[in-house]
Amino acid sequence: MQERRSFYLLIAIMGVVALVTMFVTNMILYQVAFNEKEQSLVQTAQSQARLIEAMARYNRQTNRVDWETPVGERGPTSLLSKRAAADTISQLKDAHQHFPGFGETGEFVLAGIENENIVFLLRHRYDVSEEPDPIPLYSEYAEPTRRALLAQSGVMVGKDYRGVQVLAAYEPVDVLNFGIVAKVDMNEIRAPFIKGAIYTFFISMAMILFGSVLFRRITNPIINRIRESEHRYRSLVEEINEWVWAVNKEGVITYSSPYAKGLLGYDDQQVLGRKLIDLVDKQSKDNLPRGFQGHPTHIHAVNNIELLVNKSDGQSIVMELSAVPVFLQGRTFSGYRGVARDISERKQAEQLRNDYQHKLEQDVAERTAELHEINEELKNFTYIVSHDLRSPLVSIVGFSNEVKFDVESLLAELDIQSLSDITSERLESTIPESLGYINKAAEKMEGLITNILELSRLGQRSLELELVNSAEIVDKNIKALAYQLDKVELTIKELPELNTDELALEQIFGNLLGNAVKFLQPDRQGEISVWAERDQYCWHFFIKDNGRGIAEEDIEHIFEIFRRVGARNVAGEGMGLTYVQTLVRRLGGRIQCTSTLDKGATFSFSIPIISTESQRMI
Amino acid sequence: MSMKFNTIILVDDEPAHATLVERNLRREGFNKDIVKLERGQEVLDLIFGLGDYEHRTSPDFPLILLDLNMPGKSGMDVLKEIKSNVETSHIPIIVLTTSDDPAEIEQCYQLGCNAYIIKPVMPDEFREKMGELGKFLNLTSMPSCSTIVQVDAKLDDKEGDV
Repeated sequence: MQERRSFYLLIAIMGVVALVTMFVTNMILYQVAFNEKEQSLVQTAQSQARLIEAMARYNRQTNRVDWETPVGERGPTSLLSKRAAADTISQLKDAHQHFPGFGETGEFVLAGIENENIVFLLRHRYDVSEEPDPIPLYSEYAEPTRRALLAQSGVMVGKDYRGVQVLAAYEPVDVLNFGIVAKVDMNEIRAPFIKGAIYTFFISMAMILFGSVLFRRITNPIINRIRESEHRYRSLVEEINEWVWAVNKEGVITYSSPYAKGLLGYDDQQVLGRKLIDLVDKQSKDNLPRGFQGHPTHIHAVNNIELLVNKSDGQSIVMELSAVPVFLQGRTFSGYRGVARDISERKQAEQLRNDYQHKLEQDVAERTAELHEINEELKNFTYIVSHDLRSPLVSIVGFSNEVKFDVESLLAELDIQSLSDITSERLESTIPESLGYINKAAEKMEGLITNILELSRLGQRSLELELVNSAEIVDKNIKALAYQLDKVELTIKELPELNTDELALEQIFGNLLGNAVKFLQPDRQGEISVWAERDQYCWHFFIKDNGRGIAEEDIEHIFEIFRRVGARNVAGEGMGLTYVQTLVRRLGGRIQCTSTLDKGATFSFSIPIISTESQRMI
Repeated sequence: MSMKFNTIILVDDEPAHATLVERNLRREGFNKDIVKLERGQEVLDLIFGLGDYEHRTSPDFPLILLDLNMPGKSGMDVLKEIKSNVETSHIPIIVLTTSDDPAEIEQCYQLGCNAYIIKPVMPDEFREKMGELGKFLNLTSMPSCSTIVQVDAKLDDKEGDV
């Protein structure tokens, strides 16, 4: 509505300007016309006066002697003059009858004084030749005539004998003591200007009206566009969940979007006029650039600074604020504007996350320590078990040896013939046989203990990473098995160099190749192939044979300690695969097996690819 | 350092083992004194004349057959105390134990043991090893004893096979 008022005011100003211009122009033109009229009237009056004077003088001379009148009856010179005057007047009247006059109201008046009255001798107006009635010399009427009769000469605006305002030039007529007045009605002079003024007034009003309509026509779309775009931005600013604000160079808030309510709890009107820095909690005030405190020396844009802000209800929130300085005409600093949002929840989440992370790290550290402890315990356990298991074994073996010795001694000391069959059989075969079983069991037991010990030591050996050529290792193992591999069809593909522990890799290949050979089927041509594949993280090694294979239900048990699956006619401690698995795991890899019974087995294990860079970091 | 001795102090918390060792040594013809002790502390008391052994005279020339894994003072402690004392460091000590841990063997030699024997567990090995030990002790207990270097080397060789 502001715009509408402005628009009407604009039109009003235009109207006033037009009127003033019209008025001034008219006045000037009127003045000029008035002056011209004045001059022409003066000229007319003067020329008429001089003409009448000349006529009167001539009439007086020609009428000096009244030839027809007897001398005695001849009147005084005044009478003579009177006659001359009368002559002159009649001549004038005659002349004026053939004179069309000037203007509609223009008039030419000749008057004289008689008995303190102004007597009009000649009045030229239209066709009327009737002289008006005499008027007292001193009255408010006929001022110009009076002045002419009082021998004054000039021009004036005043009332004529009719009491009408006229412009009149007055001039005395010397010879006849008459006065002459040339006059025109003021109304006649003014009339064209009044008419002109009325015309111009209506024309300019019409023009203004037309102009306004045109103006509206042209500006309306522009205004609408501007309004629309403003509305768009305003609604954008007012509807987003961010506080949009502006401050002046003193840091006082000059604009605040309605979201101030959501963010700060204040109506946007409530924050207007307050300093933005006053909303910020003491401890984070320094985060605001000094430009906000009325120090125009440190003016720079800030991005996502975090401020602690007290809401209207006293609650504290973390506000993230971004601001850009505003420069008038690109030079004079005039304040900042920017956006702010509530990031309390995000901060809380971050805090929570940090807490969790901290807790997680702590947990991991604790668990690691626990694992470490358990590992230590396990080592001690293995040590103690092997010790303590061995100790009774020593006794078993030792005393079985004692018994054997005693039996041998008995046999030597006694006469075999004197013993009963049963006793001699006991001494000669039953007891030694029993002792044999005891020893065999002890031997087996010792084998198991040794394996446990070796496995536990395997976990303790420190690995040495170095560049290892797996092809060489396989070659070495094959040479060691040369005798058994004599009739086997071997396929060794290209094998890589990799960073790992050489001894461990050698043992892995040794065991797997050894197994492959060991479990070949004697009744068909043995085939063993070795190859390697690479992915992003690991080298995968494959050892495939066409041996007796492993039953599906057994595959999951093959890596278990002391487990021997399948046929029992091949010598072995049942430790190899457990061993291999431990080694592969220590190298950071995995081992698996796929197999079909009586068709063969494929063992594959992975070794992680360790770059020389990360190797240094280990 | 002389390896001459006239008494064997056999330290083992397992009486069965001590019995076995004694029997085997005797069978091999070893005829010197054998003192059997079950605790590490007892050996130290005997050697240094402390505690229960305060008023008893310790053997003039003892040789200690020492088990490692014992409750209380372990064989390792005993070895350390005897070998680190100037007055007793000359006493020959042969460690006779069940452990075949290389680290443990290494440690014993560092502490100054004269020989390290893993208690035989395999039947054939048992007889063989015991026989050798008996022969060795018979030899060294003689007044004119052979050099220890040779004997040690022989014992070391045996270990390598285990």
